[in-house]
Amino acid sequence: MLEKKDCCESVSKFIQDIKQKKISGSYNIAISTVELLKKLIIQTEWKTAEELLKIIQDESKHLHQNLPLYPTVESMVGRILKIIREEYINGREDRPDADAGVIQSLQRLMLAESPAEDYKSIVPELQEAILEHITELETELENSMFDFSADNIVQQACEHIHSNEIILTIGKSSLVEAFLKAAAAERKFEVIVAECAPFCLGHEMAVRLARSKIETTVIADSSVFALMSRVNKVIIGTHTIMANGGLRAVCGSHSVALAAKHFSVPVYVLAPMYKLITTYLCSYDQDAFNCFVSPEGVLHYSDGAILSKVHVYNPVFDYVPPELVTLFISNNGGHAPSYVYRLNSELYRLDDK
Amino acid sequence: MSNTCGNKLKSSETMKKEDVLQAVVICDNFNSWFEPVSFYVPVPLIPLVNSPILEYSLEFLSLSGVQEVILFCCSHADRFKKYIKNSKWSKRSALMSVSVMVSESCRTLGDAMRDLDAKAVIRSDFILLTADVIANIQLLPILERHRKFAKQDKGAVMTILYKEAGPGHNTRSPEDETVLAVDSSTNRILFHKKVGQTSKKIVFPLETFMDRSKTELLYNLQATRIYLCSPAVPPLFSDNFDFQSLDDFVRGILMNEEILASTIYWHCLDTAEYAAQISTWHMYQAVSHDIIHRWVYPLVPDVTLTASGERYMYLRHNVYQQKSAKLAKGCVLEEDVVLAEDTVIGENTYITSSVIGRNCVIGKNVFVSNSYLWDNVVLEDNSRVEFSVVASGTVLKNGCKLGQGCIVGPETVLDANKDIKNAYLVASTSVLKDDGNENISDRKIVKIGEKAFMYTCITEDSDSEEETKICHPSGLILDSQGESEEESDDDLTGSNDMSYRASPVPDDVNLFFNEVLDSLSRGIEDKLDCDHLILEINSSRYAYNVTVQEVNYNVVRALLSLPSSSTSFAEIKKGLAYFMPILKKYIRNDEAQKDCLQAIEDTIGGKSELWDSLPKLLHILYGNDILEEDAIMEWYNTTDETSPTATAIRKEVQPLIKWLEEADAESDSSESE
Repeated sequence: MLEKKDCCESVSKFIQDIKQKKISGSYNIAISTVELLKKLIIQTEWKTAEELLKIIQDESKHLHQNLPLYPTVESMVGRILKIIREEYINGREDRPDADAGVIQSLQRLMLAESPAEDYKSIVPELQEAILEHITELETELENSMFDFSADNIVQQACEHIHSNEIILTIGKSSLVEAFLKAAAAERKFEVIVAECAPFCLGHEMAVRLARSKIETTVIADSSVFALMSRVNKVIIGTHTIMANGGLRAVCGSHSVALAAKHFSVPVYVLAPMYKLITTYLCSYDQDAFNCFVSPEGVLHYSDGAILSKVHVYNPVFDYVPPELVTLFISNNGGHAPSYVYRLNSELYRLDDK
Repeated sequence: MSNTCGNKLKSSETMKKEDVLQAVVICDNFNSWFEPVSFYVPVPLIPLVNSPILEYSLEFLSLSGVQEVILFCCSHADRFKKYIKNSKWSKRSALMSVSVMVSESCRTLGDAMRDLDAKAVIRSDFILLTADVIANIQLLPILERHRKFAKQDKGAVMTILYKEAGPGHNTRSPEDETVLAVDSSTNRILFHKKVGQTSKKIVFPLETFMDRSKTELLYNLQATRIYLCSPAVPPLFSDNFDFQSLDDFVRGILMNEEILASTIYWHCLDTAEYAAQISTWHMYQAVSHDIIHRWVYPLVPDVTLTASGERYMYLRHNVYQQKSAKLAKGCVLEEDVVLAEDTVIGENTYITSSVIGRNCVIGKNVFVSNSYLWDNVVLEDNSRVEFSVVASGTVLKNGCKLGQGCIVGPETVLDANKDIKNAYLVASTSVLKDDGNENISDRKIVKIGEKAFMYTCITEDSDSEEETKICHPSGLILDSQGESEEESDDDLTGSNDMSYRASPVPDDVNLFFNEVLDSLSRGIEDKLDCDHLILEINSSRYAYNVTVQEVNYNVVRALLSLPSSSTSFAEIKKGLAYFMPILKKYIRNDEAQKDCLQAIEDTIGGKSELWDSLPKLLHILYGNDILEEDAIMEWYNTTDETSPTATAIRKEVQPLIKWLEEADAESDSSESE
């Protein structure tokens, strides 16, 4: 059994690795978060589910404080907390209601919660049960990766992209890239990539698409509206899905979505379930939502004297309200934004914040 | 005399010793730029936007993957030890080990390096920096580069990092203005000179340019004071006792390249990376500005440096505020303001471009602009602070005014209604005397209160300040008042077309033009045959891949811009006569004539003294059948109304046009007869 300090060390190692970008990409972060929590569950000392929940919640606070802009970490912690609760209820001998804990019907959601559980009684083989359940979660994660298992996002590509369509996307998303490539294996279509200044990751995306023989055009962000009338579908990735179905996506997505709305072009958002979080948008500013990075790229640092006379901002994210999104394509099928609340209550316990 | 204390991690011990990336941080700047504050607080522990400067450098090293840091202290060693002990770096969860090494006998950086050599703690390539460096660089790729240099060149001992920043950039330290000559194929530094603001002339040794395909001269660089060194650097300091600073080192190595068999390379940071050294109050101000404007992201108050306290909120107009700061009714935080925890601000107070520390109490109707207030400062009602640094614990009583670059030492108490400009203030004279610093005891010290003594700054180098900013002896830039502002605006517009980045690659057409100009001037000097010159021009045409049109245009332009013919028409005439075969060769059709006329207009248009000879020039060309009447008339009639020169030139040639028209009419009439 490890002491508290040692688990602290592995948590700060994890934070450091993410900050230094040794672990990058939301999928990898999800996997390693689960690894980390598994380690916590196995290696720390706890007797009841309550203690375990406490340990994980403490670490989760610490993680959230240090990595406020990595929703994947948050959502994985939420998933695991939920797993612990479920397994506790399942494993308890004096289960109040045979199927109450597991099967949540639509009706049950509307009813008042059953009296608060205290998680204090000792459940035999709770750890084994939890770990087994986590393995299921891991399999689910692996399926949402872009390889060839049955129910993943990329497999759905051909259902959404048809021959000779023009698809518009913005910036770089490895998921969108894999999605388009999968469709390109069977059909021929054209892709327009908005460059997504000032980072211009769209250039890289276009190069990769063009390499796999997809007809690709890069455009400036300002010409999105002009070209939207010719576009059949907008397919974008996202950083996070907020609890109301809105997106925290790369800067420029909002204008793309608005242009699409104007021309009644459907907007599909590719998002594996681990991008879903339980927070709502409360302000567009840094501490709650956005991230302002160095203004280099908007204005060059080498430009000299002008810098002391101007304010330059370089926000990373845009908020896209849920009404502009047509469909979320996730690893368990397509969902409308209005359905996100339901997914949320299925995946997490909402009072686990 | 010296000892080490530190905490090694288990993990770093299990790692192979050579793989551990080491950084040596020198915790002393060996000068008195930061007095009087530096008498009380060692410079690396001075708060910069409410965190000690050292915290930024350690955070930077940790983020860039350094595993072991050696803090090399020469004075105030116990303060550093205490600081590290209480900081997050000594917690077990820290992934970077920080050890403090003390050597009180060191007086210069050179001594420190020699001491380091004697202690033999350096195992492989290491990073050398002073504790006052703020950066957000990824060091590992640059280290790779350094190793590559070292592989190609056994003598490569150091890679110096520079950041691109144009002249006039606020974050360029006036003390650190450097001119660099580098070999652009190998990135080796050939010449390095610090130019003060006074010297206007630089002499480059001839070897800088000899036997090299390409040498770059650079003056758009800001020194970052981060050095990647090979293990050979400390021994080099030991061998050469006259190396006192890193500048000495660089100069010495470059001068005695053969004897010491060592070379130095440079690396220009990626545009997204930031690095600067806080060497003076000026830099303190500039870097604070850069941090508040987020150039140093992620080292900004609301992201990284919050381990100790609560988070900062980042609000619009670059206002950073901790939640427990209390603002009264009617107070305004204009822009670029940082407010730390538990600070209380009274009614109708106005704050702009300032940093306010923890637990400060600011009264009613206070005005604070462009100032840096450290922790526990009290500003009573109606006081006014501009362009000043106020160290911790200072109290300004009712109605005090501080302005124009005051530096106030800690715990000073200023009585009511004092108005002080441009001075250093300290709480007691004892620090000044204790320190035994001669040039301080010379100064006039005025007692202005029980706990307030004032002495004015020595004006050592205020002689030739640039017009763009009024630079104060203490180094703070004061640039918001009326007159100077106008001046600086003029200056800006004047230099707007100046490029602050490296000069652009000359385009092919320009190269072609220069080539043609060379050929022609050589031709007229050596009396070369025109046929040979045509051949030469043709070959350059293919070499630079220019169109026929550009060839015609540039040949005529070159002909008129020959150095000999730049002033008098007689010379031009001589040139024209000599090169007539060339013109005949190139100007053969209507299009070419158009280009030719355009070239004449552009070239002569720039030299108003030649305008009156323009008709004669056209006449010669007409007489030699280079230009036809129709082409001239067409050119004459297509004026660009907007350009005054074009209209003026056409006015000049009016007599010729008249003459042409008459001649035309005559010939018409003669034909009709």
